[in-house]
Amino acid sequence: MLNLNDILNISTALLIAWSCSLLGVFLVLRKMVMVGDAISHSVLPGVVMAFLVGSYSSSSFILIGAAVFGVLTTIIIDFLYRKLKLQEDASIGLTFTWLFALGVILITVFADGNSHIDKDCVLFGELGLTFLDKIIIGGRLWGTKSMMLLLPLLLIVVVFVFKGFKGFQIHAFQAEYAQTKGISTGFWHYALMTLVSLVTVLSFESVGAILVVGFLVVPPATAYLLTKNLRNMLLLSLVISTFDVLVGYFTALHFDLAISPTIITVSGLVIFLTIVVQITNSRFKTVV
Amino acid sequence: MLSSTLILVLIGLAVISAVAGVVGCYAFLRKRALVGDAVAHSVLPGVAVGFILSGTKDPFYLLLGGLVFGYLAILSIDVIHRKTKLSEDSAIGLVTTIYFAFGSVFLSVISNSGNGDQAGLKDFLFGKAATMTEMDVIVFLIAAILVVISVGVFYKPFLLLSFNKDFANTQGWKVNFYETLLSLMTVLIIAIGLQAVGVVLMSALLIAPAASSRYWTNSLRKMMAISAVFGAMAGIGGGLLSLLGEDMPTGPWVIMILFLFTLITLLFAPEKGYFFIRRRNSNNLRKINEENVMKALHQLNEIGIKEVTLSSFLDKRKMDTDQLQKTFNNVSDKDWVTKTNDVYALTERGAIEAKRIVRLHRLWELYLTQRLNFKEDHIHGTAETIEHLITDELEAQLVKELDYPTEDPHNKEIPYN
Amino acid sequence: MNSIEVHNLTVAYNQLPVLWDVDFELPKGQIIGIVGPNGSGKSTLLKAIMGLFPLSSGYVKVLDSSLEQMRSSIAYVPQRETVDWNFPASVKDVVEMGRYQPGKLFRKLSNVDKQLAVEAIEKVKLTPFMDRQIGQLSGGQQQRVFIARALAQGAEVYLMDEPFIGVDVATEKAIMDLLQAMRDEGKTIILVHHDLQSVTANFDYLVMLNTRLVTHGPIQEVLTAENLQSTYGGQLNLFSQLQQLIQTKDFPIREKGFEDK
Repeated sequence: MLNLNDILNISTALLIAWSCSLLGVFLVLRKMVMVGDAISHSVLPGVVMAFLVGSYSSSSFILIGAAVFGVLTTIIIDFLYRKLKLQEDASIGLTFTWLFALGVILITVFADGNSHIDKDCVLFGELGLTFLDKIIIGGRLWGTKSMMLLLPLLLIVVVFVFKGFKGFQIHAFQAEYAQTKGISTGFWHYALMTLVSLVTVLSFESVGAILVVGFLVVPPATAYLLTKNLRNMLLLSLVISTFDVLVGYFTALHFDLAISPTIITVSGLVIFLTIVVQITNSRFKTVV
Repeated sequence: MLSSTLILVLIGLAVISAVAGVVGCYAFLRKRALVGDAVAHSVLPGVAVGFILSGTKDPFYLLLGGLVFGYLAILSIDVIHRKTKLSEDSAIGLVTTIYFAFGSVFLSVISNSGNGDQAGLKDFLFGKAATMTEMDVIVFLIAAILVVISVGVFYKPFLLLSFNKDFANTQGWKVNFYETLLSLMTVLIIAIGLQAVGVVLMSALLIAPAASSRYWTNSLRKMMAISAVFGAMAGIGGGLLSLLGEDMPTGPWVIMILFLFTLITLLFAPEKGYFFIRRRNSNNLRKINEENVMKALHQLNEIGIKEVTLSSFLDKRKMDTDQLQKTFNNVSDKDWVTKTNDVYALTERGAIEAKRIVRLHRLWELYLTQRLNFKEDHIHGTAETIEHLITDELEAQLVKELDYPTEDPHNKEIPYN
Repeated sequence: MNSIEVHNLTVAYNQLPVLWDVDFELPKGQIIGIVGPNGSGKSTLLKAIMGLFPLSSGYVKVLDSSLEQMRSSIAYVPQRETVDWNFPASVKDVVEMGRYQPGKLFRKLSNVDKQLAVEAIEKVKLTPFMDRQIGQLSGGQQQRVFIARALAQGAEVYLMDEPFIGVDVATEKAIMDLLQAMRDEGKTIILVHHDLQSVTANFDYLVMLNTRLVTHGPIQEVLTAENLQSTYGGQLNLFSQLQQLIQTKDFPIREKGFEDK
């Protein structure tokens, strides 16, 4: 039987998965998945500082500060690549390994005597623990603290992606053409990068740095293989991520496995099957 | 105090970091730096499966599992990229995260069954250099020897493959074979290094030393040597730094030192470093300023003004006053002008130099109109730049090609000495 | 009135000067070819006109005004290989992009906009393929999608980068007919073209480029053996040596702050 904690866990996972699967669509289309990966690692120093300054979930200002590290990452990568002429893959790799290492050192240096930091939790996340911070007002349960941040973020993502669809679309399809029409490519680029940074920061506690990339890339990549229409890709990505979360969660529950890795493993199986079927049978190139 | 355990750890770190630096050169040159990162993550399920299947913590089985999955990761990236419409970037992202998640699931299975320890995942990410054994160091040394031998024996095909794969193919090299060899070498180094230094450091070790060394040399041999030295120094330095505190992870400190090397490189490297570029730009600017002033002095001479002060010069030419003062100082240091009571006049050597600039300017204007069909009213701007660039050798060519001209397109005399 | 006016335009790419003091005025209502060998700066010229490259010197005017004022009157048709044709978009989706405007991206397209896109698709004869994913079109059809997108914008001046590349002879003729129909409606078409074979019959005006401007003018006047020799006869030795010098020494291509009074 489902208990209350399961419902809270699943809701948290879905809020993360939905934000990620929408934003990830544009990372996949712009071939910037690895930049997303870099961002998710590089926000670590920011997250650690957020922990140090105050309690993690309540200090939303600090979280925004942490997200600045994410945007900074894209700026550093761009600087190394364009100004110092370092090749792109190395620029990405250098930037995130350094910032991630910095974060780890910060944790180790300041972890002693600071109750706010749980080292392993920051690094790997533990979805099963997010229900601990319940918000109860007037005797009624309203959710958890992390949901209170993830929900508004999802709303912002939804508004940006669906209301600002044309901007993300034209920028992802052909940024140079958009520029000749006087459209600010910088705005759409940094809008995407900021949202990706925010979602990785907020997901840290629940799924950790490495697995959040899974939510960003796997469902959108699966949807990309199956559709020929951008709106359908966004919707399909949502559907697939929902499926992954539900199946993954209950599998993990049943076999007593770590939750978020199981969810990503399930999504891995889904894309694996999609690829196998497509390679072996050309009739299934696209379905919608 | 340096205990013998510590010395062992430092040697181990130095060796594995140096080898990773060498192997990383190929990954870097083949623009596959991030594939190394993917492989490092993908070794996790291999280690877990090796443990489950063998039922022991025998490093041999763990290593074998790691090798298999690491190589599988490379194959997966390749298949996804070639057989579907997904880009290589997506393929790397997919493989990194799915393999890692898969490995984490296995780890949770192991820890639930009471066999393994909870800290497994953390050690995997950051390594536990402090627990390095003699056996580990011996394995590192053997791997190092293997890498040095194969890099020596296959130097040429590896070189061709890294710089121009298509060319290697047309030259009849078995490109697939050597690519597989390189991949296996990379996977091997990652797999044996992981337990000591962890995933994050392994990725950094494959990228940072190679990327830095590329800035110091154009030769692959030297690049590998420099990269190995960078790696080894960072390994030892990071190992020592991590002694600063208890429970300090080694990997992140090694990365900090690697990053320091990269920073120094980006700032100070010849040709492409920040300071080199800045100095070159300011040299260029100084040359332009000096030559412009000399040219102006010559032109003033032509209309009978033999002596100028700063302010009388500024009446004739627009230029920043400080810049002009500096430039006058420079040219009088070169003995091109004399300075008496704030009055400047061309010396004999200066007059020759000034003539040279004017001559180059007018020659180039002539070249533009005669050879490149420029209109007379459009040539001055370009000639203003080019006059500073034409070397003696180019000047000789120019004069010859224009058949020793005496007048520029504006019918002004081209002054020869 | 000129369609495009370029004055003293110098552009460097990676410090290498690829366009050098280019200077011309182009008429309106004609099909104008920009020709020159590979690496002669043709595509760079179009991009510089569209404001995609920083200019080392000079300025550009579109219909006697600045580019910013005339953005909606000038349409850019990029090379076909600049996009990933696997992108999940239909012919209609791409052509509708021609109606996108900065500042209005958060609003829905109006019915008028959509209608204009449909008409543009009709003009390039792609109506039966309207809902097809763009990757499932032939090379010529993909080129026509880009042209339709420019048409949907309703511009006066069209800048096209190699519209005939990778296109079969029949499609080449179809596109040419379309361009001629556009010209007859008073539009100006400026296109980059690498091949001289099919040029003479169809273009009205020619810009011959080889890093520097060789010449420009009505086609019957400028298409001479001598001009062809200067355009395609290879770069002049001295000139290219200097170009290299500028790149290796990272020399400022235009100096600033020192002028005659």
